[in-house]
Amino acid sequence: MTCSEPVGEVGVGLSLVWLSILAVLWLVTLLLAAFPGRSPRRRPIALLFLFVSGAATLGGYGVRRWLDKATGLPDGAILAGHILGVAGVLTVLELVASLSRTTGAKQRILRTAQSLLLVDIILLVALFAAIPRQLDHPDFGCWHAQSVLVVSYEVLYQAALGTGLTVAIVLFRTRVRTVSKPLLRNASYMIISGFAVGLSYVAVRCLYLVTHAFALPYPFAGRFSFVPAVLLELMLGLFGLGTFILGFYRIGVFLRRLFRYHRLRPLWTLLDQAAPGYVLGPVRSTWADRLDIRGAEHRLYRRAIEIRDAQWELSKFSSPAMTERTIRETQNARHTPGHNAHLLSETLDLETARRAKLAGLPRTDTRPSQDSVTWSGGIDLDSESRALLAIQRLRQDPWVQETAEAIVLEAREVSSAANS
Amino acid sequence: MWIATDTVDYIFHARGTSPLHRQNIVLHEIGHMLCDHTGRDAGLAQMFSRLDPAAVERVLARDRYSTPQEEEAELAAAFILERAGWHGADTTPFGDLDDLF
Repeated sequence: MTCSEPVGEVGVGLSLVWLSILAVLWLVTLLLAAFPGRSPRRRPIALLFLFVSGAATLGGYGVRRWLDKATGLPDGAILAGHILGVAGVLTVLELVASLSRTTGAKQRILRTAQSLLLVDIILLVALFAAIPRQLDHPDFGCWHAQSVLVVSYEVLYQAALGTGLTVAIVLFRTRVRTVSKPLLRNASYMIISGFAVGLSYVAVRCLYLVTHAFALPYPFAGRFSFVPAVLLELMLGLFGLGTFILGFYRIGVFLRRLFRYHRLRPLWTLLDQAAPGYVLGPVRSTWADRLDIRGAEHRLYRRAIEIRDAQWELSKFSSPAMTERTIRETQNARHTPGHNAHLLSETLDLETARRAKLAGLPRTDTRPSQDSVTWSGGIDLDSESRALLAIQRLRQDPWVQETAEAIVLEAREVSSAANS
Repeated sequence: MWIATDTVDYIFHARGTSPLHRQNIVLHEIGHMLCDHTGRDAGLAQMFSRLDPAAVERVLARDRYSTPQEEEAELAAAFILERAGWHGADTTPFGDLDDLF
């Protein structure tokens, strides 16, 4: 940094790395705003990204100069950036406080730290007002580096950043071990590494402030002058990349569930026609349904439950004899579409029951079939929707259709013979 | 089915369905409890011979969503699960940090 030119070049210069970091940060911020979720912790996360993205953007000297000229407030962009930075630290502490198993003494420490940071913001504003600043001499830190007011201001800001980063490292580090997927765990470690690099940046900044104020030799001058900027970029890069991976994973899960919801429409429609009355709320048109991307999980869950409700209702039309033959046919089947005998048996049982109801066969309220044909699926939405998609695919197999038809035909003949 | 007596609440669910469906049935009945729904189907209560009919305060069974109470309980079931997370407890990919990410 230099103060030799009245325009100054304080802050971060325009570079591809810097623009990429800003793009990632703002992308994550916008995604969090667009998909807020229902978790009470999502709002602080969105705020954190807003503050970090804002502070990082105001770190660019071009943005600072433009904002100062636009507002007419000398170095106002620096103060705004610093307040956003401390607000980000406050939000990190709020997130830590909201995590489970952060109780008692740790909660008190966190609340005390938050109170101190609020005082820190007030002191920063007061000191900023007292520091002499000029619009044509940007960055008071350069022009009044040895002023007590300026050194106090800078140290206060760095102390706030250091506090937040230390707390984040200490409290998140142990929890990252509980993340099961290696990719997500590594992304989480990337974020923690970003905090650690940030702590190094804070240390370098403090060293710069002290050496500059007391005219001492600064080790990162000359050929090592790139170190602070690289540390800052590395911190934001690791933080941005780590959260981008996590966010990308979440989006991937969301899209997969949305696609599954739409892919299950044929089975859902078929069973709704066969056993009406199990769809909750009004049925929308296909296009209105396709254009709506909100609440993928909730909609997929309802679709899965409505399919299962209809399946349960239809199973009452499958007599014990039909179920027995279903199981026997599945066991004896030489042609087995797919590789899962349970799924095949369940699909055949469902198709047989559906055809039995359509054929006008009577409902049987004794249901030994529920103990004989095991239903697939799992306790979670993903395994359940996967099983239903497999049933939908298996149902279209000619073997399933022909066998179900044969079973129902036999049941009708038995029923006719009994009636006559 | 939810049967409320003056001292105990009983929830019964169908056997043989998928685990998620079973869970929804149970959450549906809990939804009735949370929404303080009322209803008394004497026929259903009589299915349980050991239960004193005089002690039964409410009986609600899950069938088609034919009444506002049934719709409300079904929505409550989905909201409970949404709040708890759509994945099962043993498949939480984010571990302790699940709510953060």
